[in-house]
Amino acid sequence: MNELEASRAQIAALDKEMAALFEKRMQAVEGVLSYKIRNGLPILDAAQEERVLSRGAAYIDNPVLQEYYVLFQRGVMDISKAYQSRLMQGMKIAYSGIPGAFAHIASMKLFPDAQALAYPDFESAYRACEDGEVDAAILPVENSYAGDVGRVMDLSFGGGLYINRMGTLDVTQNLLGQPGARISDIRKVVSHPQALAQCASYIREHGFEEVEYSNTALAAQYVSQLADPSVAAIASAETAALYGLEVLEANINASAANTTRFAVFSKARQAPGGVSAGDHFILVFTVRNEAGALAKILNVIGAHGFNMSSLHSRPMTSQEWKHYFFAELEGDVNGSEGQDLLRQLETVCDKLKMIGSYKNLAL
Amino acid sequence: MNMTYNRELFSPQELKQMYPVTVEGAAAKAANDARIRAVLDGTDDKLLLIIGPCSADREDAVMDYISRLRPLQEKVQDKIVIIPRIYTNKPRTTGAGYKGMLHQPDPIAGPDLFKGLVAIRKLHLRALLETGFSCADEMLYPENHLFLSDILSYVAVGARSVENQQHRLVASGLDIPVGMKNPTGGDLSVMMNSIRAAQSSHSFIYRNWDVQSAGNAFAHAILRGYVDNHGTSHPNYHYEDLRDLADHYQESGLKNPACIVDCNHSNSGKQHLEQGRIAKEVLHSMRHCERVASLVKGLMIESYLEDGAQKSGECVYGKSITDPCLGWEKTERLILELADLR
Repeated sequence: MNELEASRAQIAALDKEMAALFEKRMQAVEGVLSYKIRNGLPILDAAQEERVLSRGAAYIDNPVLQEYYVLFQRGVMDISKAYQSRLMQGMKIAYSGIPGAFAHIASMKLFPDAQALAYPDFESAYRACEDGEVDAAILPVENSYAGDVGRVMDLSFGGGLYINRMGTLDVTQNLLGQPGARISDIRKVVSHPQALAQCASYIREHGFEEVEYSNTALAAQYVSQLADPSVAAIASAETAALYGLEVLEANINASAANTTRFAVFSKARQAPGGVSAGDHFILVFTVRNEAGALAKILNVIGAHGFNMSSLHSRPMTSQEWKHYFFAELEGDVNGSEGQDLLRQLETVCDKLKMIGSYKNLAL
Repeated sequence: MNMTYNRELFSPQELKQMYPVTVEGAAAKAANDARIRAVLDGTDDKLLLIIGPCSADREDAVMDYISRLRPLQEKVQDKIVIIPRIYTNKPRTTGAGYKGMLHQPDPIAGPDLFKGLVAIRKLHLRALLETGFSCADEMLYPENHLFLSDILSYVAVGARSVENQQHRLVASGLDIPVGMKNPTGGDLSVMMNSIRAAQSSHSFIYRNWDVQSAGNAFAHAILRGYVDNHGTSHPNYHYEDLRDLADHYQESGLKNPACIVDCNHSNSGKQHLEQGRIAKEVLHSMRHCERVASLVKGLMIESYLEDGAQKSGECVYGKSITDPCLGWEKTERLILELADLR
């Protein structure tokens, strides 16, 4: 055997070993992905990639080879992500509304590879995830202009799902009409009450009659089927294309910073030390029926230095005149400070649930 | 009132519910209590050794220290009953300086009593659940005892507090032994009066309640040395001092006569390395006189992982930030020596 053949034989033997390791690594990747699907987490975790790269470089003694190894690892991770997105096509997510609704747009941005299924309302989307029909449900929890989305809070108070991911979608409302219609033809606008509220000043200026509809995309569909040039819908630009309508006027909502926050609900609660530490969390709780009960809870939260970014009180559907609270706090609930807080609040609150730890990200 | 109300604290009931003692923990404490009582009432002639850092400044180092005591306790179990010190609140002569974990859960940060109260319960609870030791603490603020009443096996009333009525009354209502230190001036009658008060039943106000105490038959004396009018330290652990205390007890008719010798403070003149010599001298005195032998029930020693003391900003792991302590190696050797001498 000459020198070249000997080296090639050595490479062939190493390739065989590496192939076996590659297969093992991809199997481990499947485990990572199944965790991400259960927890509603994205494929890309940039912080983890950085950890892998810096750890990997340390394994290589030869400084020249180090930089090639970083390239090698990047390649391996790209292959891993491609494999994960292929596997994620098997993931099912639920949203409320019909194709083109903001929830649908948000869902596609959160899980580009997953299969998004439309449900008629918040509750059926939430229950579909609880029942295991889908892996995650994407539901709005807050709208910066027309206020919060109370029914979703109610579901999260009573239900068994957790939020491990939260994304904010910029929402722009548009006036959609029949192709060829003019704004001066319009007498009636159809949309979801929140969209109508967001565009109230525009509607007033034009003297439109408002018709409430359960969903902006459904409203667009309805207007399209009606084929009446005097009736327009208020919805996203995406829906115009879907239902054969035309954008008569774009950006008609009053507030430029009009956003909706969508939560990814799933059955699994990310364990402390999970993929990525959250910087926000949500507590839902009820207080004892005694004077100063809420003040006591706020006192404990303050003692641990967590800033409360919002606190809502909502009537409980099951009991008359009883309320529960829905609070969003800033910080990592899985740190020692957060764990102490939960432990102490469990005693001070009548009922307490931590329903989500996440980072607020823009979509 | 010329004060700011920073934050309302948990009630003792709430804190106990948040950080509860387990069934195993409660059983361990009950067994420790029985062992300690047996020494104090004379049915067992083992030596009590109340030993640990001057102040419990950080959870990790204190847990490290107490975990090391456990195998040592097994080794000397026929001779010595160890009660680790976890002192979470410190009296300060002028009120300045580190006042203990209760005030400063982080010794280099500012005071935070809300977190301090949680931190001291968590530390005492961890010690009990992880090592089986129910520990000793100083009862500096009698109102706070209830936060730890299901975890502690021993409390001491300090030299500066022993004349205080509320300390005496609360001591009379505890179901664990209370050691009453002689006052800094050394007057033994003050200490004897304090023990008498603690052994009697009283009605008083405790935590906003009208309460009646049963009297604590296990209130006893701790000799810690004293300081004279000129600020000079004098010991009171010598043979003659112990005989003198036995005389006081004989006249008093108090129950369960007992003396613990504090080997540091004015007995050592805060020369922490003298503690070993003092401890051995006390055992020597006990061999010379039956009355002394039956009176002295134990020793109190200040010990930590590192010898000496540091300023609180220096942050050496396991080194005292209050009075100087005996380091771990010397401590281990001393405990084994004391077991041999018994």
